[in-house]
Amino acid sequence: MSTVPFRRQERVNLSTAEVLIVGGDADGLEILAQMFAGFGVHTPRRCAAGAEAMTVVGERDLNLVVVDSQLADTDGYDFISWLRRCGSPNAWAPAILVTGHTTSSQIFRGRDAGASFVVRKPVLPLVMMQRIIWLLSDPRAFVTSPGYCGPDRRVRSIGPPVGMKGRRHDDLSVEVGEAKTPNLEQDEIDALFQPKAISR
Amino acid sequence: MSVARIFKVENRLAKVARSPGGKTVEEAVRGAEQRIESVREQCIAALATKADQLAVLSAGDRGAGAQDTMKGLYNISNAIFGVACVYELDALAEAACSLCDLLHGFRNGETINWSAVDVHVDGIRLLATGRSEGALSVLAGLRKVRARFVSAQS
Repeated sequence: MSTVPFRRQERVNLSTAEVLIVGGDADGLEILAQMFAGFGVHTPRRCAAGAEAMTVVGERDLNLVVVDSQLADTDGYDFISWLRRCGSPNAWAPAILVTGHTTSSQIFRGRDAGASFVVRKPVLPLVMMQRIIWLLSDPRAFVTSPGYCGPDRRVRSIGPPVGMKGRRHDDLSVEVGEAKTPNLEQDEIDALFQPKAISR
Repeated sequence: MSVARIFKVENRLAKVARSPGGKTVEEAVRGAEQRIESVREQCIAALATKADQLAVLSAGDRGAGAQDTMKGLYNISNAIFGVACVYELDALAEAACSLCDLLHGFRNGETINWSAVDVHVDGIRLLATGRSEGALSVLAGLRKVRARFVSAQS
């Protein structure tokens, strides 16, 4: 078995999780469905077409959506984009986009459609489980705007554009203000990198 | 200026997954690997059918409907790649990915070179049906073709 980069005894209980798997290729869909069954999901819902998956989104409270980039009637990007704007609580369900042949433009397209993660094939169980574990503690807020709906795409906080004051309460200022405390001496900085035992 | 709304949502996946019971991560991964292995034969058998579909499609409309033909070829070769790489059929996965690279470039406005497509389709059929003892030489040929076109496209 592959080496698991997690705590060996970490537990996940996906037995009652509502997982929707959407993919246009029957064999690819079968592989993903088997993977989630192996993870312990009792009834992974599988759909080949986006239209069919839209019906499921309207009927079930989903915990996770896994979408292949190729569907029978549309593509995974459009489906995720629709999901994020569908108006039901499922709009905020974590969505993993699975891609085969992958160009960088497709990764950006997946991100901008609102995917929580884009995973390139081969999607091994270990990789999928790693993404699920990450999603369990995903700190990202959700964003809705006319141009984008989905998890916050900002991975770096670089402040508002130059010349703008910012429009969100959590924007950082571009200006670096005056220091509020004295500069550290080099030996004080070095000490921060040399942990010492603390006497109790 | 557009108004963006930023808010936290309940993590329903975590709520379910962190409930008592379930499996250890190690058990879950092992279980998934075993389940995927259990459908190996049927998925690999379907690869030959997909390769035949590639051949039929590539012999189809190369005129006005060439873009549709290429889209279909791309989808099938992408599906072949997806299955082949899971079951570590590396040569087949590489050949299918190579065809996807070519078609991606041709779909972006490059002049379509059908000979390059045909040689890929033939190579994929050989590899998918397990009739190629010389998988390495097939791959070497496809790499040359791909290098010629993909470098010209980029």
